[in-house]
Amino acid sequence: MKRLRFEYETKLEFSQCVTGHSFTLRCTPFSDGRQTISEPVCEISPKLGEVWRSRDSFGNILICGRMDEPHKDFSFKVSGEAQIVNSCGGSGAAAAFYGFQTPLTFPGEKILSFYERNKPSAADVLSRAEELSASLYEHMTYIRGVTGTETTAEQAMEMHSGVCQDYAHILLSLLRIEGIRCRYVSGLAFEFGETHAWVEVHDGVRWTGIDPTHNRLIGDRYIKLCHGRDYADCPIERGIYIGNAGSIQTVSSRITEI
Amino acid sequence: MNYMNTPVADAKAVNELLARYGVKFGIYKNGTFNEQLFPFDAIPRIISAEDFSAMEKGLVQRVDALNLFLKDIYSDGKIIKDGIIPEVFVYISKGYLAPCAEITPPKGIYSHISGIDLVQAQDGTWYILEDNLRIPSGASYPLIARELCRMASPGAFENNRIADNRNYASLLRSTMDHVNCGGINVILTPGRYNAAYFEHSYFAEKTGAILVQNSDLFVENNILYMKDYQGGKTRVGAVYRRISDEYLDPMTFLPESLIGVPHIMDAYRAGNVAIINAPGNGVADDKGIYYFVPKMIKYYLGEEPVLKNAPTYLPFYEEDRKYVLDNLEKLVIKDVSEAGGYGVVFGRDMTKEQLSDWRRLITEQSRRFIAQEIIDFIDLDVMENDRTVLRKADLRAFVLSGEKTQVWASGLTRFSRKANSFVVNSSQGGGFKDTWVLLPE
Amino acid sequence: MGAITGININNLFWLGRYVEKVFTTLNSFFKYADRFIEGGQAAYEKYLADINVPDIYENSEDFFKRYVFDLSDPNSIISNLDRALGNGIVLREEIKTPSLSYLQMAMDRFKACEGTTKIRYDMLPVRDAIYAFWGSVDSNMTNMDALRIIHLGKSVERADMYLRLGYPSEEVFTQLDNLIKHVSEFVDSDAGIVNSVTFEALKYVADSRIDLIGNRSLVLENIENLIEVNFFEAAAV
Repeated sequence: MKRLRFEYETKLEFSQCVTGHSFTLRCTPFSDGRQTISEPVCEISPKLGEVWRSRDSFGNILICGRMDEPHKDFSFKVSGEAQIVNSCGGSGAAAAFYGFQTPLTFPGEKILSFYERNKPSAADVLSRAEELSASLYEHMTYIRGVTGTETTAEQAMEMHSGVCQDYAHILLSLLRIEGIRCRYVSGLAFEFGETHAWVEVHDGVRWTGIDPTHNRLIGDRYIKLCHGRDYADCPIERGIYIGNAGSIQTVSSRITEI
Repeated sequence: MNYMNTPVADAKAVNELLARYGVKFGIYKNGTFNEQLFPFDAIPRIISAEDFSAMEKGLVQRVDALNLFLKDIYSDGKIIKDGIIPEVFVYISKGYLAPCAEITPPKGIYSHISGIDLVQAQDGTWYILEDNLRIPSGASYPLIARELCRMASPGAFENNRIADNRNYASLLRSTMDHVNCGGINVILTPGRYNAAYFEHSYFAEKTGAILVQNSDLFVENNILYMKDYQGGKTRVGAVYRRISDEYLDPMTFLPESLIGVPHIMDAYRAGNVAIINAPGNGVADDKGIYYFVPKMIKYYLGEEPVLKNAPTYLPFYEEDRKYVLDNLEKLVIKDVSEAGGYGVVFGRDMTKEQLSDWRRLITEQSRRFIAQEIIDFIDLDVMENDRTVLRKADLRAFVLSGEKTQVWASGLTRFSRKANSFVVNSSQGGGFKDTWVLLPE
Repeated sequence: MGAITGININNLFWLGRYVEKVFTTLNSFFKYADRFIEGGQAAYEKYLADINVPDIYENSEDFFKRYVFDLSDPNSIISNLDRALGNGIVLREEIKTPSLSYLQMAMDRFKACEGTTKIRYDMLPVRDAIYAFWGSVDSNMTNMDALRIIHLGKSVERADMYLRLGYPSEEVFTQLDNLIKHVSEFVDSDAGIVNSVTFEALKYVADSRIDLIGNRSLVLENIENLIEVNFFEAAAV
């Protein structure tokens, strides 16, 4: 068991003023069987317009808001304490939709043939998932900048490279070929200054996290922020605004052991 | 039915009036927007009181079952667990929206306005062709046409006992009021250049709901408001939205949607606003799910279906697939992901090569298609250059679910303007007729 | 105030302006057409200059044809009628179907007049339809605030056109008085659509009956800036 103090911040700088800005943030971690979150605080700047909370169908906490007045930057910072037990995620049933492919995970020829070549041999769900994760880890090269948030699992497989999001999407695709219910997770991990993505697998009883980018089960150094069937279900931040402005985003996170 | 004794409205007068009243639909051709008149044929379709009473029973039953199905699959999914419907048909459907799971809409109603398409076979049997539970359009046309026919040809209504269909607006209004969560009713339109803009504005006029575009609405603390030009805000209790699910809320669905209302899904989830029809309904009018509707009626209501489905095959099942491949030339193939008469092909129109291409496609993508026997539905008399010709026609019945489920005693009869064509959609050049439901003797 | 959305207030105001513009322009064009009967070389150039329309026409025949009937000429009378109809179409639920049908009817009859040799006679139904439109909005509309905004647009346009077209000062002052009366109804509301500076200026013009000919462009400018709503078309999707 670990007690961690976390701090996570995203800053957006627009190239010119924007108005009519609506946003939804899934940046607030919540407690499950693995992590217990105390006193999470989310600060949003600038302080314009209304901010309120909501939930989504995946169980995530949403922070919603609207800023109508012109502003040139936008940031949110979430901090708090987490108590992590080094075991699986929450127990309980998994919604059936987690067993089905989405547009981002839908397998094409590349994934199907990879699956044929790397069919797992173990009997239980978690071991099969670990085998697939291991084959994937062997096959892929971690390269930044070759993929984007809209890259599908099949496209990443074709390039056999990508970042944590792509690793996660391909593993989800492979698991769903097997009919295993699984979900995409966004969160913070100890070693990284940014956000990380991994996969949770449901074995019929409980969820267990696997990090295909590092080919290991997630341990007590991971804090989950949100989950969904794929990235598109649960972006940490989604916003729309009026104004012909580009934006530069900087993300930082810090986890320290207490 | 004896058409000879049916006094017919003055078609020229009615078409002139329709033009004058701006009864149009928009269509995009080669990238430009045009408005077209919807050609009106003056010979009405006549449905006897007896026929209608059976149809009414069947439609109420069907829509009730479909509403129960939607409630079920967005919560416990009992019908799947009980093995009535394979889960793959639900969760792979484009219309199934995971972000709607576990949301119960106000009063538990998902499909408030259902447009059920039927055809009548040569032997008089009515068959269900498809269910439209998302944004079924078209009720405004027979509604205004009736008004104009009564003006141009009062005699026709004097000599026949015809159910007055001009109550549609009040049915619609009471449906909105029934699910309203406190606040005003609005009709959300994507704007002037939508195909059905006439209908949006006509319903707003007739129901007293305010016609709005997305920029008139905003959400704060999970409550939907309309802003007026003075900067004030008025709470909205029900939205009859005429934009499709994927564009409804850029924060939940397509982020690039410019016609949606950010956070409207949060207001809906919190139970603060009714969305008419509920998002996620597409899973129930999916052409693949259609096959299972008679089973749903038995499962949820314990009743025998009153109205028949057209005989349908799912290539997903091996037995059905074999039948489809063997009998392709006499079947009609429908792509489950397309609507509005698109993605419908007839085996009899295919060349040998096309047939084998289609056999391959159906084998490879068995979940994507359904196949149906072609129902030789009855032709209706249509006036063309001062003589009557026979044309294929269907009927869209409108069923409104508010305090109770009611069938509008009328409907939209669309006919093909080409001989022997089964495609009746307005977007593909079809015309429409008034639909008379006769009162009981 | 009844509930009126931001988009609708623009459309209501410009609906009033465009319908009135068509009506006043037609009337003045008919006067011109009347003088033309005896073959007098009626100077359409001056007419165009008065109403601030660029002279793009080759001769009086071309002017007759295009200025009246050419939808591709943005300054033509039919183009203004088309804008009136466009605003009407998006306001069906406010102005009600019969009112909209009179605009459609005006357009249909207008188009049917193309090529006529007796334009003033053939256009009578167009004028009738516009009269009927005004009767219809007055008796069918249920949102009185929306109705007042249409009339506000109408009175702005009429004062503007009468001054431009060189109507006698007394007639122009009558229209200005009428305009001020309409505007006063909005000054105290929180609508925020009245520019108070130009409003005060116009009141001074009307109260002191200043020389309109000498101050024509200044007064026109004040009328144009009096109401601060802008026309925009809903984006195509």
